[in-house]
Amino acid sequence: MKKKVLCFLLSLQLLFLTGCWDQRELAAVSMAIGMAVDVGENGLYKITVEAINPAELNDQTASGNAPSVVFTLEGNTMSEIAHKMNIGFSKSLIFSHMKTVIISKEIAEKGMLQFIDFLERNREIRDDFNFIMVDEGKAADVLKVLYTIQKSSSLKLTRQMSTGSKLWGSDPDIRLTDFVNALTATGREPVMATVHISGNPKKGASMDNLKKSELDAIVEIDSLAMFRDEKFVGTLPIEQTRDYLWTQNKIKMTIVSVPCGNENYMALRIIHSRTKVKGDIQNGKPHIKLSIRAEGYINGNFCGPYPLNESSSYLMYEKKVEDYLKEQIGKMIHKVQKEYGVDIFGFGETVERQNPKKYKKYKENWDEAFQQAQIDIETDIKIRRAGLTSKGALLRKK
Amino acid sequence: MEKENLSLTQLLALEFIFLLGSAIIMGVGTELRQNSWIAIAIATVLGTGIMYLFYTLNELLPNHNLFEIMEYGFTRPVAIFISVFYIIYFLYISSRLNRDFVELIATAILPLTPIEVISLTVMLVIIYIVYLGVEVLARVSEIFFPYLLGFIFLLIVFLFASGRIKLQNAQPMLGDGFMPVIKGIFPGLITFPFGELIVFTVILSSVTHLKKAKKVVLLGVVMAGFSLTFATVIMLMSLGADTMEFSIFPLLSAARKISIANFIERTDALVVFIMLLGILVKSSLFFYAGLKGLEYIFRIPYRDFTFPIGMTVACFTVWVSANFAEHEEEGLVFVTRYLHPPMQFGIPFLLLGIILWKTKKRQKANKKSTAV
Amino acid sequence: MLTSERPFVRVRRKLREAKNTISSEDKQLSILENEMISLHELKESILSAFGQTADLIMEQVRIAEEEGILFYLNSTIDKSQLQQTLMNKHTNQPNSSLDLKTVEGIQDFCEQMFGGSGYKLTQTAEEAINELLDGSFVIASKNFPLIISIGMPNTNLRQVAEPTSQTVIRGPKDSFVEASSINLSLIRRRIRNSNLRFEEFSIGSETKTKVYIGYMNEIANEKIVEEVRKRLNKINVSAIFESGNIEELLVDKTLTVFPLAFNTERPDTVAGELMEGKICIVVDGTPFALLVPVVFTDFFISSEDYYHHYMISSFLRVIRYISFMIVLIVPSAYVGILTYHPELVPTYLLINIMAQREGVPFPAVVEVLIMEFTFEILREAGIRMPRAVGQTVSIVGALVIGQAAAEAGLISNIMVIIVAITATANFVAPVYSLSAATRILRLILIPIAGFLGLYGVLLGLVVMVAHLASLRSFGVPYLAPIAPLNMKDQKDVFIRFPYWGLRRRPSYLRTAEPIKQEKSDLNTPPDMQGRNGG
Repeated sequence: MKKKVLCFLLSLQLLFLTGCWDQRELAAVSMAIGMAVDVGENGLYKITVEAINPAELNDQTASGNAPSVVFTLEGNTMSEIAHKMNIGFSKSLIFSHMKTVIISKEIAEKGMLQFIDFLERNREIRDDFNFIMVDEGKAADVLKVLYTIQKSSSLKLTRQMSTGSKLWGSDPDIRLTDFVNALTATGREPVMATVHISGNPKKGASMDNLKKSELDAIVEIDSLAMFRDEKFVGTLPIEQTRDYLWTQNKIKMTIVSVPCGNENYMALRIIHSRTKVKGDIQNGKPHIKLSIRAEGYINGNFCGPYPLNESSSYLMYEKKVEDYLKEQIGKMIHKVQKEYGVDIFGFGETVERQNPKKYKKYKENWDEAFQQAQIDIETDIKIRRAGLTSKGALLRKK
Repeated sequence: MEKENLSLTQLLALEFIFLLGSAIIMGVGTELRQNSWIAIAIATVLGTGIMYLFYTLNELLPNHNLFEIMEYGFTRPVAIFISVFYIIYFLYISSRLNRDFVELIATAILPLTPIEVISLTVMLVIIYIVYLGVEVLARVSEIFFPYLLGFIFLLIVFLFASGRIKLQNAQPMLGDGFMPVIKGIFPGLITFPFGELIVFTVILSSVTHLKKAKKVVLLGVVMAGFSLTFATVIMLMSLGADTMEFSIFPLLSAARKISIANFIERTDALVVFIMLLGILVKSSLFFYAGLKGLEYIFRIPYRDFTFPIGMTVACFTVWVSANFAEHEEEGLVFVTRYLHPPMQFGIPFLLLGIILWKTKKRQKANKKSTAV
Repeated sequence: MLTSERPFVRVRRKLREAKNTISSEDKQLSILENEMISLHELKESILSAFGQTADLIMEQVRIAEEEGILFYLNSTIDKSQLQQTLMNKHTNQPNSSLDLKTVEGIQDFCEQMFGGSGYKLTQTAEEAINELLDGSFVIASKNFPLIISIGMPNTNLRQVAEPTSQTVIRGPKDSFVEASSINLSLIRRRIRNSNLRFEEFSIGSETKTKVYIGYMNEIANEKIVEEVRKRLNKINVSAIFESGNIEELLVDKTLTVFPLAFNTERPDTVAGELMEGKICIVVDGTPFALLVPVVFTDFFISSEDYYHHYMISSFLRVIRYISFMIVLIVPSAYVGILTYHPELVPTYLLINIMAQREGVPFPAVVEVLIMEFTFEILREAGIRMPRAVGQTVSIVGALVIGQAAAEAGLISNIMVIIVAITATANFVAPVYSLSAATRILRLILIPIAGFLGLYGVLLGLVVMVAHLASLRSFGVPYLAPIAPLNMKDQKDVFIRFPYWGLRRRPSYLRTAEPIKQEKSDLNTPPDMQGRNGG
């Protein structure tokens, strides 16, 4: 019996004789919160990492310094650069809390997206960061622009993007897996949100930027970038970004400003929306049918003396909105078909799901088939209520 | 040797955790893409049949575990010969399971820790549990059974709440017809996880009410199969067929997508806990079965073998493959095609046949003697 | 072992065994004529046994016109009662028709004089000495064939007061005291049933402490009672002072941190558990009684659970279980996650924690261990310090020290919160034995978390559960009724059903009468129609 106990204790000892391998003291690591990829001069890539200085983000310990440190390095593989970063940084970086990855337009145009493999494979890097493109200039500059509340640029961008996709539909909320899935699928092409730095980026990188009410530089959500496989082909302006999101059933809330002649507009706040897509192939051409059903309330009305306590007015407005939306979305899809020819909507995937046998023939060259596709849009808008007054002030005056 | 007793709930819990164990983490049938869950559902039905077969073996000779049944069916020398193979088989599968677990930990949680350490710590826990007896193992699985169910349920609820479930990902169903499904089931899904139920032939002898156990045992297979199907559907709908096919730990990848209110995120720990539990129970059962075989051959209580054999298994966990690709290949090719079928089906079928024949012979002899 | 025992001890042991099985009436009848002892011999034996002890009093008295000696131990006698009895003796002249030289005469005499005072007639010096030790006074006379001993033990100990360790908001506030007779009366008062049986043991070869077991005859499982008797009789130590000493000698397995017997100061708990089919062990000299067999879930039950409304009781029970998990998991998970898996913490929380841990010089493991040990030291000190000072050096004091250390930069603020939560959660367990067990387990899990992170914590928890699953208390599995699972018993484990629903006794106790009460009709409001309205 004693021998058994001795053997057992010896085997336990083995565990203690060696060290603790994976131990990383919190004080010895730095959180990398954002990454920017540019084309490198002395290497394939030029990667910039933004690492947080946590003391600055906590009001009690903040001392007015910059909330993060930004450093750039060149190299051939992202993995190499990521681990070499302490050429400039003091601590080792952990990437598991990264919030944004920004690529420059140059990278997108050249299609140099090989670094995605590193992002997918690495166990530390998760799927919850925003994948963004900057429309001009260096991606690194985006990481440097500071903002008042969140202070760090990446933190601000995450919050901004999630608010945008919820509130108005300005951001397609593209994560890494969304991009990769679109990339590998035959019936869909990837998209990405684009940002723009308005103002002076150099001044935006200083804490003085935060001391004013009108910031020197601010990062704005700009447009939607479209890709054919890994190469960038063009952008859609922000209004059409919203229309794009409508086809993807990703609209949560938005506002539609419907013109009703003579520079008069009506604003409808959409609160629920559901889009169904049906895809089929007939006579050699894809037939796509979109049914959009949305519900909202009138949020601004200057369209004429139609009293809003009569249901006929509601019906009239509903018709106006439906026609308007049909027109706008149709225009946008048509533009993408003719000018860019990439199926960013995933109509091919829809056809594959619903009619897999028919889709097989077109699998190889779906984009071409997409350009010939016939699109039918059906909209069904329901206006439920109109706020606090049934006839606005300006319409009441005698 | 004292009689160890298992209650029916414990049997159910053991079976459920056993079947889900590693299957839910490593992902079964993921290469079938949108048809994976259909294949699993069909395999479940077949699995109940398999379990019934194993149960019958035990029912014909109650209080006999697999090795004693072999002695009755063949003869002691032949049974010893075959038992050697079974012992090696059980211990080998046990070390492969440990290797699965160690790979998960090394890939996702503790990459720098040497796998020897992880292997050793897991094995020590398994040794402790098996040393305390199969009753203790059963109680532990009984206790953790609701937590396992709860965590899986939580994961599914969270996935729904994060809005990551896209029903369209499950289409197209049976896009390429039924053939791929059939190919996936034989021999893949039949042997893993359902064929591994052979281990239960060693345990069913300790159950208190063997007659009532029939319903429980089949219910366990159905429950586990259903949960596996459901989990696969959820994984499919949240990851998409592409990602799921090429993902090494699909449940972990799915769990990583959970993000609610910026607070409930990063729930990897739940998945690791599910896997830990599943592997512990599964590996302990295989280990116990191997030890019972040794007990049968050498007539020494199996407890005496726990520590030395356990350490051997811990070593083999490391030696069994040099890298992950080898481990996967071995599992998909060698084990699934050449190792599982004879051990799980070949010999048991033969055994069942012999025993039925012997029982008939005995009945005839009885009739003759009563007639005379 | 028997060879080294002194003959005295052997005799005493035989006496003790004889006492357990023979009632006092039988004793008187089995006196043999030819074993009478003379007064001189008695005096010599008593003097040699007690030596020069200051509390042995020998007085010359006259009883029934006879010269005799009165012996008593000053320290065990209730003096006021003694005087009264002796007074009575003088005023009541004996009936001179009795011949006090015969056994029957003595017996009649005692019946007349001392009837109802708990008298005994003994023959041997050893018995007399035992009686003296038990708090009786002994009267012997040259011509009496027997020695008379009358018991008037001094029960002037601590009065029944509020329990110090297991307090409740609603419920009886009496607690056991050191005198076992009062304790037994507190139990007997609550269960006015002739089936409540007490059996006396004298344990401890030198101290001969009185130990009583109590059980309900038609409810408790006879096999378990027999097992308790067997184990108590097997005990062979020299001194027993507290039920804790007996506990360690009585339980199935000592190599465990978990308590395998329930201890309580409250008579209502004991009465309740006796009715469930458990067996209580009362030790003279301590207010803590033991209850066996016990299961793990018993340690999360407080007697006031049954006095409050069942909803709040269920809620509090759940809180207790959660506190148990908190104590084990929170410090080790903190260490494990922060040291090995920073990716498991939500980003904003992690930024906060990192900001606080910036200047801390210690790794998380060391920090936690330092704070835990400091807390333990302060807690122990708080218990030992005199009442007046003790309150300051308590958890609040520890928090202040923690705060100061945090401001000095030695530990982070989060650490103070975690240790405070853990420490407070620890004391939610109604029974101290379990909170002691969880303290130790927590301290074991923290270094494990320091080595292997969250994985180590999970492994540690599994090992703990396996260990719990293997324990048995008097043959009852420690984790019943959870494992093996018994749905019928679940009414009183995690939640408490209303009193009308608690119809069964726990099945793992295998009681003789499993059903406590019949299905009762619930009350319906009376029909108020026809009175003042309708």
